[in-house]
This record gives sequence, C-alpha cells and structure tokens, in this order.
Amino acid sequence: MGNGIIGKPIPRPSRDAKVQAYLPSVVAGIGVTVKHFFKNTKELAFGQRNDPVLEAFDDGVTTISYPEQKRPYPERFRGVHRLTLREDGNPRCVACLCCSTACPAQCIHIVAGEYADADKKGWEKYPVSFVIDELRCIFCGYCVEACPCDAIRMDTGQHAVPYDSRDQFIYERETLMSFSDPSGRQLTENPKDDPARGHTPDRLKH
Amino acid sequence: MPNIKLDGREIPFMNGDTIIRAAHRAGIDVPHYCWHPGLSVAANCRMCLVEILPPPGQRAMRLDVLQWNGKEYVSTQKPKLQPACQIGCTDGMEVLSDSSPHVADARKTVQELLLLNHPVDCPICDQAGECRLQDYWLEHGRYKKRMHDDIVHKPKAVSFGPTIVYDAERCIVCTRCVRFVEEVAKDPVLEKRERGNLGEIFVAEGRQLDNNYTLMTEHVCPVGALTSKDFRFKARVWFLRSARTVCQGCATGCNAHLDFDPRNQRAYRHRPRDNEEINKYWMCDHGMLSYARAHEGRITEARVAGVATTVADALAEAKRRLTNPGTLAIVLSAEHASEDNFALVTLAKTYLGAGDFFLAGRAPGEADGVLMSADRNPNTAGAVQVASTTPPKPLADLVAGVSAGRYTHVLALGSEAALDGPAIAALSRAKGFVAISAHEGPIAKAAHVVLPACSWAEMDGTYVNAQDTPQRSQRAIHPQGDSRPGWEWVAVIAKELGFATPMRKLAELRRAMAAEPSASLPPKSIPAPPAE
Amino acid sequence: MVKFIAEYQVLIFALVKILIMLGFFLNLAPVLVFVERRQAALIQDRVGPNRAVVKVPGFLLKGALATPALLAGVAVAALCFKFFPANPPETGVGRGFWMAELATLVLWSHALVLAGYVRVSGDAANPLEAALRDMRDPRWIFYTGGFLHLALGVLYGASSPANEAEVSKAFALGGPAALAGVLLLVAAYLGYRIPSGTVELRAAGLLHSIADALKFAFKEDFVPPKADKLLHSLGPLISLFPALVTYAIIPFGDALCFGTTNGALDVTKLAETASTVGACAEGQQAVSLQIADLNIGVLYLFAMGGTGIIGAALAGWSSDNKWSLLGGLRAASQMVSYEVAMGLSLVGAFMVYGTPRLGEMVRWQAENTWGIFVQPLAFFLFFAAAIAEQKRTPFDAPEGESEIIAGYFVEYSSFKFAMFYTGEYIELVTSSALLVTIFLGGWTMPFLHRDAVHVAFGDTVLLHSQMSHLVATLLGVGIFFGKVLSMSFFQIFLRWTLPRFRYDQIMAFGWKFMLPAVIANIVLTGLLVLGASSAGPSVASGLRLAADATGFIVIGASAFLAVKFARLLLSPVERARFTSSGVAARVGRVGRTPETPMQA
Repeated sequence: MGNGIIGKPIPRPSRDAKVQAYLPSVVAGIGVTVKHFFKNTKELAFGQRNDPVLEAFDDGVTTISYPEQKRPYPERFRGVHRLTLREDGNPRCVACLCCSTACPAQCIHIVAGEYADADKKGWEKYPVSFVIDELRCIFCGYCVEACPCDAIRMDTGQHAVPYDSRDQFIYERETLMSFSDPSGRQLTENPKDDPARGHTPDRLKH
Repeated sequence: MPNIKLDGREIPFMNGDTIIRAAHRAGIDVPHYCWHPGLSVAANCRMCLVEILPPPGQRAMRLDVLQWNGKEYVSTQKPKLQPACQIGCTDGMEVLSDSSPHVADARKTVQELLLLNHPVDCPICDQAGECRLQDYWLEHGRYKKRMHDDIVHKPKAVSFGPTIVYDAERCIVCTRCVRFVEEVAKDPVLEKRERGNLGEIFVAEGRQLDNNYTLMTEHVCPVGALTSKDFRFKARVWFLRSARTVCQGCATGCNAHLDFDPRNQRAYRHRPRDNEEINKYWMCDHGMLSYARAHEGRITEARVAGVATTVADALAEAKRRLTNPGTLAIVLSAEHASEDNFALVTLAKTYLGAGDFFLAGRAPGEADGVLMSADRNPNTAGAVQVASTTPPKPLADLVAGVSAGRYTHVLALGSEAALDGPAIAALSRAKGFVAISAHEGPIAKAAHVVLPACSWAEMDGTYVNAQDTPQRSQRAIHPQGDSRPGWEWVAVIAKELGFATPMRKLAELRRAMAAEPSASLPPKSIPAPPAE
Repeated sequence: MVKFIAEYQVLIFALVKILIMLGFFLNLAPVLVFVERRQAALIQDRVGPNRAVVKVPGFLLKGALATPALLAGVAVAALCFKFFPANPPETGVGRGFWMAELATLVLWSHALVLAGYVRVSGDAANPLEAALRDMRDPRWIFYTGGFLHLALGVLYGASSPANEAEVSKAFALGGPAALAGVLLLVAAYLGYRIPSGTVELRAAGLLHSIADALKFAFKEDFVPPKADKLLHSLGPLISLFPALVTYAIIPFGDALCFGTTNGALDVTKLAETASTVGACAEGQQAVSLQIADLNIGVLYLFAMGGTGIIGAALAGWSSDNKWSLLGGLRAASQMVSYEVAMGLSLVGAFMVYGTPRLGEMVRWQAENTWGIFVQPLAFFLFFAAAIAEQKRTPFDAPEGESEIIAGYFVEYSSFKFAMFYTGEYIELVTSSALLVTIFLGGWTMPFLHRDAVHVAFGDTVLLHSQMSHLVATLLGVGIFFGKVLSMSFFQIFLRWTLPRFRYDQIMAFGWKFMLPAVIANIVLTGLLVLGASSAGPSVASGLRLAADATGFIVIGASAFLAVKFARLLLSPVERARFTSSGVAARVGRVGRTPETPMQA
C-alpha cells in the first residue's frame, strides 16, 4: 500500500481562519473586479486605451473591433487555399491526390485528367476538377505540407468568408486558381518543385 | 523434402527451384524487380543478390575490394554475392538475405543505381503506392540522392498501343514485359534497345502492342513505366481496396482482384489473382476490362413495362402477372451465380411446379488458346448443374414455345441472350414475363416486370468454370440503387406468391444447395494470394 | 380636472406609481443585462458588447443633440433678457452665481469629452481640436475647470460691502449671459461637428441590449417534440410573474403630503412643509409612494417569491430533457431550502422595527439608524439567501453550465428564454430594492429630513438648511433608485468575482450554517431588544448618539468612496509595460505594425 504511487505531491490549500471565513477573500476578490472595471471604464471613456497590437500584452483593454480594426497576421497565417499557377496559366497541381490523402477532414475532392497536347509531357496529369469544401476544412495546413509541387498554398491571408448557404463554401478549381497571395502573386514561390523541371534534350524528343 | 536455410530458417524446396522461388513459395520476399514466378529468369536487375555461405569445410569465395572509410580507400574483402533468382537450391544450402550486411549494402547500391536517372514523378505516376522502387527505397535504400546533375531524359508518355502508355524515364529495363509478350502472349512485339542508362523498351517497327494480353505487361511492370490507358489517372491505388472475385469475361473463370474505392463504391480495375490451376498469374485484356460491367449498362431500379418504378409497385405487378400462371417457363442464366440459379430452380420445381428450363447467356466468341474460352459466360456449367435432372434447353425453344402459346408466363434470370428483335417481340407477347436482370439487354427489354439484380461485384456467389471447378467470388461494393442479389429477388417473389422458402439468408441457401446432391459440387476454397 | 382627479385619485395614483416602478424595473433589466456583460468584459480586459449599430442620418442626430442645448440656451437668454431690466440684483445674484458655475461646468466637461473623442479617434477638425488631441495631459482641463469654479466662488463670496452692488450686478447679468452663451456654443459646435451623412450610432454599446431583445423576439420558438406543451409554455410565465409582482410593496419614496379642498385631495396644493417624519400635517392628505401598502408587508413578498420555484421546477420537468430535469430539481430544492433561511433572517428585523410593513421599516430607519447597523448578521444572511433564491453565482448550480448545460431552461429558446432571463434580472433588482428598503434605509439618507437637511449629533445641531417637502421627497426617490442601482451593480460584481459552489456545498451551507445562524440572530436580537426596551433613559440616549454616529459613518463612507472614485478618474495611465513574445518584441523594436500586414 502506498509504494506504487509515484507523483508530484501537491500541497493542500491552507485552511487558516482567513480562508475558512470566506468573506475576507470575497471582499478582496470584489476589490479586484471593481478596480478592473472602473479602471478600464475610465480608460475607455477617456481614450486611454492600449494600442491593440503594440500593447496587446499590457494591462488594460486591447480588444480589436474586428471589421473596423484588424490585427496584423503572422506571415505563416493559414488562410483560404489557393492553387498556384504555371507561367502559362495552367494549375501547377498534377492531381496526385496527396493533399486529399493527407486531409484529415476529407474536404478535398480531385478528378484527374490528362493534357492532350504533346508539349505538356513531364507534367501530363492535371486536375480536371479540384474542389475544396471550405466548411469542412479545418485549416490544418496538411495539404500544403503534403503537396510535392507547391501547387496548393494557404498564403492568401484571407479568412473563409461567411456565406448564407452551404454550397457557396464549395470552392471550385477556377475559384481557387483566381486567388493570389497578399502581394498579388499567383505563381509559386518554389519553382524547383516543378515535376517538369530541367529540359528534354533534343536528341531524345519525340 | 530437401531444405535450404534462408537467414537461419529452414525452407523446403522442390527439385529445380531457385532460391527466390523456394522463398517465394514459403512466403518470403527476396527483393527483386526482374524476376517473376511466371516468367523466365533474366537476372538483370541485381536486386536479389544474396550471400551464399560455403559448404562446411570449404573456403568462401571472396573478392578484394577497396572500401571508403570516410577518409581514404582501405583494401578489404567481401563475399561474392549471387543472384537468388539464378542460383538453384541444393540440400543444406545456407543463404543469407536480410541478415547479411553485404547484401543490405548491395541492395542499397542497386537501388541507388536504378533510381539514378529516375524522374521521381511519383505524384503523376499511377504506380505510386504499389511501386517496387518506392517500397524497396523505404526498405533498403533510405539514402539521400547524391547525383545533382540533370537526369538522362528519355521519351515519356509514349503510346505503345490502344491500351498501354510507356514512360522510358521511369523504366528500369527489367525486361519483364519483353519476356511476357514472348513467353506467355506468344506475340514478341516488345524489345529492348540501347545500353546502360539509355536503355529503353520499344515496340517492333510497324507493330503496336495490341494482342489480347497487353494489360499484363502493365501488370508485370514492377515500376510505373508501363501504365494502363484505362486506369491511367483514374484513381490512386492507396484509396483502393480489393475483393477476391472471379472474372466474368468467359467460362475460364480466371481468379481476379476487383479493386474498388470504398468511399464512392466504384470498381476501378481488375488484377489477376494467382491461381496455379486456372489462370496462373495472368488474365486477358477482355477479362481485365470486364470490371467495367459492374457499372456499365446496369439496371438499378425496378421497371414495369420498361418504365422505372418503385420496388413495391414492381413486386405487386410481378405478383399479379405470376399468380395462377398457365404454363410457366423458367429461364436460368449462365451469367449469374449458382446461388441465383439454384434459388430459381428451387422456386420453380418445389413451389410453382414448373419443369421447363431454358438457359440464357452471352453469345459464344472465339477461344484464343491461352486463357480465353469460347463460352463467354462465367457460370454455364453451374447453371446446368443446378437444373440437374431437367437440363435447360436453348432459348430459341422458348421463343418458339411462347409464339406457339405453349408457354404463357416466363420467369427469367439474366440479362444477355442471343435474341434478335423479332424474338424479343415474340417473348414480350407472353401473358406475364418477369425478369431479374443486372444489366440492360434483350431479356430486360422483353420483360414486363424487371427487378434489378446485383452484379457479381455486389454479391457473394459461386461460379463454376469450364473445368467444372466451382469458385467463390467475394462482394466488393454495396448493391447499387435498388438492386439485390438474384436469389434474394427469387425469395421475395416466392414470399409475394405466398411460399415460405428456405432462402432467407445466403448461408441458408448454400446449405440447401449442398443438400441437393446434383447441385452440390463443393466449392473449392479460394486459395490465399501468395505473397509476391 | 380637479374633480376627476378627486374622484379617481386612488386609481390614478396607483397607475402612476405602477408606471414608475414598472418603468424602472423593466428598463433596468435590459440595462443590467448590458451592465453584466460589460462588467464581465471589462473585468477581463475586453470591451464587451458594443457592436450593435444604428445608422442615423446626421441631421437627425444633430437635431436630437443640438436642439435641447439650443432651446436651453435660448430659454436662458430669453429669461435673462426678460428679467434683466426689472430684476432686482438681490434675488438675481444667487441665481446668477449658480448659472455662472453651471456655465463653467458645461464648458470644461464638454471640453473634456471633446478631448476624449479626438484623442480616441485621432481626427481633429480644427486647430483647437488638434491642440486638445496633442495636449500632454487632459487632466489639466479638469484642473482648469475646478480652478474656475473656485475662482467664481471666491469672487462671489469675497465681495466686500464696497463693491457688492457691482459684483451682484455682474453676476446677475454675466451668469445667465455666460450660460446662454455656452449652451448656444455647445449647440453650434454640435451642429458643426456631427457629420451630415449617415452616422453609425453605437451609444457605447447600449444598443446591444436592444439588438439582443429583437433577436430573441425573432428567433424560432422551439418546443421539444416530447415536451409537455402547456407546462413548457407556463414555466417561464410562472417564473416571471412573481418577479414582476413583488415590487408592488416596495416603497420608493416618502409619503407626499397634499393639501385638501372641501375635504378632498387637491393635487395643486403640495404642502411646503411636513410636520414630522411619516405623517402629514393636519388637513393634509398623504399619498404614500408605494403601490400597495399591504398590512402583511414583507410576507406577501415571500408568498409571491415562493411561486418562482414552481416555474423553475415546471420548466425543468416539462422540457423532457434530463439536464433540465436535474436543473429543475436543483432549483426547487435550493430555493425551498433558502426560502427558510431568508424568511427567518428577517424575524430579527421585524422585532427591531416592530412591523412587517416595508414603509414603516423605512420610517423607523429614518428616525433611528439603518437596518444594517442594528441587524448586521441578518443583512449578510438575507443577502446570501436572496442570491441563492435568484439562483445566481455563487449559488447557480441549477444552471451549472459545466455539468448540466443550462439547467432547467436548456430547452427554452426565443422569447421564452428571454422571459427567464428578464425574470432573473428583475428578481435581482427586486432583491436589491428589498435589501435597500430593509437594511439600507430605503429612500432615506442620514440627516435628510422631510423638509430640511439637519445635521445633528445628539442635541448639537451642526447644520440646518430648510428645503421644500416636494424637493426632499423627490430627492428621496432619487436616492432610493440610486441605492437600488448601486446594489444591483454590486450584486453583478459579486457574480463576476465568486466561483460556483458545489451542489452539496450549497445544501450544506443552507441547512447547516444559514439556519442555525438565523436562529441565533433571532435569539440574540430578542435579548437585545428586550434589554434595550427595559433599560433606562441613559441607555436610550446613548443609543440615540450611536444612531447619529452611524449617520456620520454612512456619510463619511460615501465621501470616501467619492474621493476614491475621483482619484481613480484623475489617475494617469501608468501601465507596467512588458513584451512577452517574440512578435511583440519585434513590433516593439520596430515601433509600429508592419507596413503591409496580411490583413483579413
């Protein structure tokens, strides 16, 4: 008995008269709440509010009134997805389904197709349909991690927009391709991940 | 039986076995690319190198090598490794495969060489997920790529024929496909050209890869060099699950895997299932592509007079049509499983008192002498067996009988039949024609009431092939639409007509089938697929 | 008119009183909802509800804000113009002085508000605003205002007989003129500063309660399929009803004394003086400011409050939900338990006051001292029991979210839920009003009598200032509502401070502590009352002095709080600034937010 229990002993709260009497602690607690309330009320009324960004960690109210005020997001903020483009405007995506395999919410649906033109050799596969259900998406970013071609990114800096019907959350391929990163770029950041990188020697071209 | 010792484990072998074949039979995988149990030995991939210990009392064969120890080359020795696919077994032979560091080193090196000029375009490669290059890299490679030059570029997406696309960059020139077309398909249209890292497979001048076994070249290809145009880019293999089915293409009854996606309940392809007695390792193109019949031309809703309706309405109509039939003709189907046919025969003989059986099925084609039979129905033998004492007559007799008024009512199973337009019209002039059909076809066209039956992909069933071998086929996907297995429909009709039949469950039906001596060829158990 | 009033006076006065109380209580409920949310937010350093917006055309807002100021200014100017020539300086001086002070107050307070606005928004429309925005310490506006007040007072009070006439005249002229000028200036500035286009009006978030109420009204009213439809609908009604009827017996002011003509009450004759506390002079008729002065008094309140239990229990049972059933059971057992302690805690007060009538109780307190000083233990016990009766923190186990979602009203939505909610807040106000009436002197304030401010210690009169009976009574009404408001505020503070008791703790506290304590209080009070009544006159006068001393305590405490509050308002912002994360440190180094932030 007793020898099998291993753990950090946590001291019991002391039960002195002050604690047991309850009322002193209540008074002290009310003092804290009252002080906070009036101090913050005064600062709000007198325009002594904190800067919500610079002083976000200080005492005082730092609420951001969202649509009017906005918090700067970190660069790695995961927003709505976008499909990056190639130079010729086609999606970089090669429909390998790695993203939909990695997706824990199973919100990505892809139908693969094959380019008819001969010059697309090397990346002959492309998504005929690429659908993300932004309502199911949990914005974990696994799809971006899984993508071998840097074709899907979440760097749009946009939230999923609230809509009034569910089908509006179904983002089709064209919608996803129309997004850009905050600087307006629709191309990829990592051209080296192109499966068609390098060149085909003339000698071997069919 | 003589034994060899592989990594300390006793393995029996048969006379003439190579090490890799003995291991394969014992369920041990010696890594390999070019070796295939159904093909001749080429020994060109060098992946199956193993260390063979010298017989007791003899010196091992060792080679002088220079080994890089991180600073300089050191002169040392290592054993001479030998290909397991080439070396025959002798009793008491001791082989080290996974337990030898030299073998591990060799495998890693071979893997690196094979992948040296590989484009690593797994995202767009259909083989990804079942690719030997991926598997063995994970198992034996795990190195970082050391070559930073551009790879040797070779032709990509070359069409070899109507069914196959070739990618030379992914090819490791193991020549499995070359050997297959020569040895099994007996149509040597593929050959290898160039050497070293320029090597590639090509089709003979003026020819296409267009024999009846083209898809087998894709099947034997251990990497993604050959891909099937039918399956190309349709699905990723890691989403697919396999059901052990029997090919429905002909009476040979090739064992197959039906690969389907459980999420959307669609079948995507057939793969041959090894069965030494029936189809060995192969299937024909016709059979390989017959998986599509799981979805194509299906009847998934009940019909009355050709118009889709609810099951309840169709059953009511069927009951009205079949109550107090004058003379009832029963049509069995060579396409349906023995269970379906047996249920129908039981209902007809035991409850309805009908004794005239006819057999419907697909029209015969030509046998190709390799696998394909002339009879294009999977279960002709089974249907004939269950009818036993009253062998089914050809369908032409039924047409004549209905025209002549000898049969007023028809209860039919099946979809395909060798019936032309006038024959269909003649059949539909019967007073009542109730059909249980899985596919669109002449029978469904002629019938007044059509009940949607499950295809083979949606039900467990027994099929008896041309060699009278009963084989069981597993259910892959769920029944589509309102469809139910044929025997269930028979049981439902029996219930509608007021008969209590012992056909409530499949097990019950199979017990009844086993009790019927004429119909009870005990189905052979499905052989477990050998580990590749 | 007079005849009509005389005929239906009882009815009319009752209606007026009901309207006053209803207006106060019903409006206070949503206000308290807002207060509670705003408190919760500010205590947690958040802004809280302030998102509800009404888009008002600028001219409407201009009209609504500038017109009163304009009218007041014009009225003052007209008054000044009208009375100037004929107005003798003697009577005009006092008025003029106060007007000058008022003008000063309006000036600096508006300057302060304007400074606050431009400092928050940052956009200054003119150099004056820019100066206000950029001034280092806006407290100087207050200090300047205070200095001006003081200067005026000194100027007025320091007038020597030599220049008294000039000073008087200057004040008589300058006061109204200054006030009119300031008011007109305010009106003009409002007209100039409020934009003409659409203005998004937030009213500091007050609109949020209205938005919430609208939302409740338009939400789907869901009744669970297997609920008892009738009882499910009856539940909120039954729990709102007692909350609404209990305020009928709460007196919100002293009796008004009206004169009579022909023996009937005459509304136009309000007695200027009232004889003694609680009684009108001969020939006057009293109208008590209490909807119903029942002779059973506070017992009515317990009778009505007791029915609230049925509402909660019914709601919990009829919802066909195990959590609501648990909540209903908890509510029923808890309320029944605390009903006992609550009722018994007032027995001591009955003994001291000698009456169950609330009006009489307040009069006793006006004559002697506040109830809290004679029944301190009962005050705390009654307070605790009242909170438990309202099922509010720390006694809110019946709706304990962490265990049973929302307790007995889990299955209520739309306005039925709003009824529970409103009922809870009305109960809160009612209990505050009761506490104020029984223990905190009701409408009375120490030294404020029916017709005068009379500060005395024993027989020593320190200050005596006569005022009219009407003013004193209205002051009393204001004091009463002010006290109720403060008490409600305090209760809400309590809610944000205390964690919830466990259910067994609640029951144990109720039966094992509260009950013995109230019984002990009864015994003790009985002994003391007996002792005090049988003691000699020296003890009585000692008690008299002690009672006066409590008056000083109350006034002193109030003054202390007022000073503390003023100090808080005037304290500069001195935050302990620390940067605790990498981002903050980086932003702190750069000194600003990045140029092109990725903003959603």
